[in-house]
Amino acid sequence: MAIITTGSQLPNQGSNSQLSIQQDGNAQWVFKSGTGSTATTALTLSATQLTAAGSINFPAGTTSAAPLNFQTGTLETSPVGGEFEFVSGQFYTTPSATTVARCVMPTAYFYTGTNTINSLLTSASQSIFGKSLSVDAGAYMFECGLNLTIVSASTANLNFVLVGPTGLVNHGRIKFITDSNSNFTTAVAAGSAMSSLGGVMSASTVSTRYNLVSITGTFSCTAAGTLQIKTTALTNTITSVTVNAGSYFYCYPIQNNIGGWV
Amino acid sequence: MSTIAAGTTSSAALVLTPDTTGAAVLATNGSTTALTITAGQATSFAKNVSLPAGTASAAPFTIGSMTQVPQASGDFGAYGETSSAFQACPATSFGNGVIPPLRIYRTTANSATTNWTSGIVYSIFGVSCNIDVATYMIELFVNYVKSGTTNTFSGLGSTTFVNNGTSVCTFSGISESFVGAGTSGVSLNAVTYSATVSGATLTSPGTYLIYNPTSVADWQGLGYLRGVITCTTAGTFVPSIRAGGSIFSPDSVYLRTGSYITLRRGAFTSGTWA
Repeated sequence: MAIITTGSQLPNQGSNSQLSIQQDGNAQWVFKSGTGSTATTALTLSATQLTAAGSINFPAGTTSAAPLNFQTGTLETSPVGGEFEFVSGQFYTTPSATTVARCVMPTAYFYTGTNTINSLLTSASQSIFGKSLSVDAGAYMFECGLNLTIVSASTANLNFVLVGPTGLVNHGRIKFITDSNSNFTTAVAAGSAMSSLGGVMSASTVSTRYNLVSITGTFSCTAAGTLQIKTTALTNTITSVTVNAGSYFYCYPIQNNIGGWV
Repeated sequence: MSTIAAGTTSSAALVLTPDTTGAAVLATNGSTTALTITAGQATSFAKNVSLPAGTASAAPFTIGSMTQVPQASGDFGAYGETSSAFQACPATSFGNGVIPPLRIYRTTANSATTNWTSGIVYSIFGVSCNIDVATYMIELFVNYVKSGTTNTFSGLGSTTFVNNGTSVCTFSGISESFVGAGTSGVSLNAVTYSATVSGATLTSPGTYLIYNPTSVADWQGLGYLRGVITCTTAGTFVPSIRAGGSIFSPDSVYLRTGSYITLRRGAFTSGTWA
């Protein structure tokens, strides 16, 4: 172990003597730039923290290491502005020193893509995107935007369903616009186990319908597993549902109560 | 290279090298750069950095102020902007974006039943939080259930969203209300109200949240509100409703599980808009 005593100077400061390393009277390592009385502290290392006077540059991430890693810990009792914290499952930030308390820093899952669903039956659901997402147990905010082209010879009513891990419960609302209906129609679901988000797309004799669907809300599950957003025909078999470009699903984990609520 | 002292093993050696540019280099294994401090006091880590676990008395990482420019790919920080928001720059060509600090309150059980008196303000969640002078993105979803068939209920009229705290806020955005008969909570298909609001002061009359102009014995009402709140005076923020009708005992109303509010601070202009 190398030990440098208080006031020690480098034995050799090279051809450009601007730096020294010192341990000050507070048992801190102090890295300074400059010399003599003009030296200024660049980096201070105490028993509890490292403080940099200038900017800090983290290295490039690699396939085996992220540039910066937080160890899971305990949330600070009295957070102050500028702090980042991490407790397994959630990052936290405190943006202001005064009245704004600690907040969640969302880390989102996002998927955008296209898909074609053929022969959508009333008896079997099909995946909207043909993808599933691995999620942990917990609560999530979610948002789903769909641009759908629906071909059906008769009434075309769709049901949207989140299918996922044990204990999945959803709360949210659906809005949609379709070109073959009075221009604004709404269906809402709330509070039930996620068997149904409610039906959208009203009856129409038009064979091809264009629909924009917005679904927002929260879901929670009591176990880890895979999540899918699916659709089912409510009344008649639908010839096809095309999920057009720009359709997306977005979610991020949340804590139930965060932000200094009292 | 100036060697301060040799470690007891080769892997424990510590070397400080002030090079010809005035930079200090902390090296491991005798020659592998671990940490560089430039004469301009910028610190660079050569390998990944592992921060300690936070404790009740100290966060693992505190970041200082940064201005919006210059901004380069990988920049992260920006606490201390006008609105004290965190920012990150995913690509130099994109510039800085806000990392929205998210505040959320979400119910995980039904509330106790209560009664409403027309014109009286009731806290939705029974909680408040402090907000400061800044702009917030807000999303609010409430699910109220009214039960009882004694027909003391004469219609809800317009029940509005207000802030019953000491802060002064205006809201711009949309509010939607869906009210349907029954209390099963499975699905509703009744459209009753949708509005766009610009700059409404969140005290009175507020913004429509539950709209039910007719008398229905049992109903479920969902209110959805999304937009921007601008706070001009800091203080407490108490998300509340002002009842548009009265619900007397033995009829009652309660807030269902799953209702939530989110506030994302720092929704000020960010990015290079021109």
